[in-house]
Order: sequence, then structure tokens, then C-alpha cells
Amino acid sequence: MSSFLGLGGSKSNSGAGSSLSSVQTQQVKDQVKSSIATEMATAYATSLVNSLTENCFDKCILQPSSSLTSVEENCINDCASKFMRSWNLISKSYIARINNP
Amino acid sequence: MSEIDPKLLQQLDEPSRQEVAAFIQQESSKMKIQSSVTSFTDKCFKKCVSTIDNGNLSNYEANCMNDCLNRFLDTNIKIVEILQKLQK
Repeated sequence: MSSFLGLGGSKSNSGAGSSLSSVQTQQVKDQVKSSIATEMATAYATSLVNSLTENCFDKCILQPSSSLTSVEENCINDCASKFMRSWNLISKSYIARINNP
Repeated sequence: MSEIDPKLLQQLDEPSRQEVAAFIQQESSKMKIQSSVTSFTDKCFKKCVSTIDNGNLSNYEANCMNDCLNRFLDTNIKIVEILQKLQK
């Protein structure tokens, strides 16, 4: 991680002559941060959607037909809400256990 | 990611690099916790939720999720202990 994008390395590249103005520095920093945050959020959303789809498909679509029935749609709604409640519960318990082993 | 010019990054001064590196560390540990939580939820949801009749978790399901998480973590600790004994 320390060598990521050449960050945290030696000072060899920050020599005089090529340094940025403070406005530019702020812009570059903001750009890097927001692009990292976006990547992370996308990865998180993707894995959540995959896990939700897999679990709710298994629980709700017992006999696939030519389209989703209203029963299946209700089940998917309830399943997704149950899953997110479970996620929040697990998150709370896990963090509690990490902080207080 | 691709729209950032690597040359600009290299021109960042040391404090800015450290700031960005710290931000990455922080985001990456947040990500690790989030993906662990998703994987535990995935595992325990399969074990604890058998019928979907409404969108709320029953007391039974909530207790089961909680126990499932803690027993999984206990198992993880046990496995590490067993492997440590084997090493000796």
C-alpha cells in the first residue's frame, strides 16, 4: 500500500521547479480522494447487489416462470429488507466484538 | 482512476502524499470491514432465515444471526489456535 501511485515514497520527486501551487495541490488531492471513494463505493455496492440477488433468488424464485409473479416480487421486497436488517445487525455486533474482544 | 495524471501525483509535496496515503489506508480498512460484514451476513442469512413472510427480522432470526456471527468468529479463533499448536 505504501507504494500505491508512488505515494509515501522518497522525496526524490518533490524537487524544486516542478512543485504545484497550493490550489493545484488541493485539486489533485481532492481528485484522488474522490476517485478512490467512488471506486470503493462501487465495489461495495456491487458485492452487496450480488449477495442480495443470490440470497433472495434462492429464497423467492422456487419455480422460475415466464415472468416474476406478484408473490415473488413481494417476497423479493421482504427478503431485501430482511437482508439489510441482518446486515445492520451483523455490522453492529461485529464492530462491538472487534472493539471489545 | 484513469483520469488522474500520474505526473501531477508525483509533484505532490510530502505532507500531501501522506494525507492521501492516510486517506487510502482509512478507506481500505473501512472496505475490509464492510466486505467482512457482507460475507458474514451472506453466510448467516442462509442459516438463519428460512421463510420470508415479512420484511422484519423475527426475534428468533435476530438471535440466530448474532449467535451465527459469534460462533463463526470463535471458529476462526479456534482454527488459528489449532494451526499454532501444529507448528510447534
